Amino acid sequence: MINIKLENVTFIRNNRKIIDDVSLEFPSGKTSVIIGPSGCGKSTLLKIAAGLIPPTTGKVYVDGENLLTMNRKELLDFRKKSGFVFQDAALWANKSVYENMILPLQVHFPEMETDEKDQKIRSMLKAVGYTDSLLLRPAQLSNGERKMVSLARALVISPILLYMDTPLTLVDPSVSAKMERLILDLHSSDYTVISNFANPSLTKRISDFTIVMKDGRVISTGTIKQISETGDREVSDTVSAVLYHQNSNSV
Amino acid sequence: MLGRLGRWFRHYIKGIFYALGFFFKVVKASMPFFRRRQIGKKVLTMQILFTGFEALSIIALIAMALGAVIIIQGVSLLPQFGQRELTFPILITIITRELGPLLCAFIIIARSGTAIATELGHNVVSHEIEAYIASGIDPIGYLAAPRFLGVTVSILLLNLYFNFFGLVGSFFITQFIEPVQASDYFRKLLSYLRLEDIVSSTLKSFTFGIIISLSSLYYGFKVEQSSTEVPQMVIKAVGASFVFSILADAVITLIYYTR
Repeated sequence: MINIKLENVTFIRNNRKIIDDVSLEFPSGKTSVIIGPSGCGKSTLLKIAAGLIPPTTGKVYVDGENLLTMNRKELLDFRKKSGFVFQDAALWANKSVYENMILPLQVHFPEMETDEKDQKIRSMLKAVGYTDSLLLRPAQLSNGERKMVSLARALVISPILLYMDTPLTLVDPSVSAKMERLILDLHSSDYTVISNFANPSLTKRISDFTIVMKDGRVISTGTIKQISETGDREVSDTVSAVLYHQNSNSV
Repeated sequence: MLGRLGRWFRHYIKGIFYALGFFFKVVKASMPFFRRRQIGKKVLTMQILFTGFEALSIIALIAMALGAVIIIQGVSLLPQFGQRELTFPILITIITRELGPLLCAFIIIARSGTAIATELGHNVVSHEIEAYIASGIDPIGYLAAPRFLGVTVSILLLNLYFNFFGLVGSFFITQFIEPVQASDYFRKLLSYLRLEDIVSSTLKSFTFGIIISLSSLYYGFKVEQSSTEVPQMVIKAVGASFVFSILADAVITLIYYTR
């Protein structure tokens, strides 16, 4: 179990406030989903919570320790426990699929035998549904395959915390179904998942804790039932636009 | 007006400190590189291969051509003033001490400096740097340190090649103009080559290597969000590498002559 907490986090880029004084705690062992209209700062908040972007002001705590002031060893320990699936897959372009997969294992499990690493890589890629050659470069893969490899790369080190930034966008239905099954498996296990899905039905099915964002602010948190029942007009408008209007271009 | 000037000055000073901090971090990350087991060793090998080995043919060609020009000019002009023997000191001054290290630096800037800044810039835009951080890999230790070491080691090697091809190649050119005994040629050449020439040449190459690698890395990482920033930063990296290399060359030469 791992606990992530944000305290008065603000992020300013090019004189624009992307995240505005956000304080929240993601429940450990649960699936937290950030929802809100496009451009409201969901991805940025996710990256701040993962320690990929330092906030302009505010603090990020991992099990009570300030993520921004952790030493090298503590930070490496946190990275060993967490994985991140990027919106655009962010595979390392100059490395093959196999090299993309083995690098995190080399960092976190240097003592692991090559055969074991190899086996782990193959089984993880199989689990996400990747069946193509391991020697291909990311540029030779389809969008769906890139997303699969990105998810597999995040899971190969067996983390207990998974950040996912719209993992199912630009993925064809068959790939999406496979990845969705895997995400549901993660949800039913002890994983702590912090995500931002562009998929209303999946969000409704797996969200234990929902964070509603608008214009860089967190306007409501709780279960979907709780946030749907708040009397706040701004919250109900945002939630209905995001979760119940299939034609809405936001989530 | 005064407020804008103040803001610009504050921003400028902040930028200098940021750059200094970056340079310090890269140098610090490079120090234990050979002692520890590093996952970036492959990156270092590839960088030396690209910068030090693949540039060999172009370096050889330029060095031999330059050596030939010096010999041809020396053989045709200097005897008119009774200074034929000066051909060798001129050859050493140009090939070893002055033009050799600088030409190597220019070739490295054009080949490797631009490549490093472009690659890192694209890595930033495509979020690959964030993926390294998320995987527990320090981008400075994994991407910057091996490139810093690779370019610095490679430029020293290239300077060595340049000297070899410039000085030895010129011997072969001499054979076409006025055949001389190899032993006689190299005896004369070595009699003019002093330890200070080698030290000055090595020091220059080493300094240029540091300047080029750090400038390229700095501007590569400075790309923020858009791919249109990449060529802009590459131009800045090339400009900074040229300017600082020439300035360093002038300073080292000045120290050499005013000693």
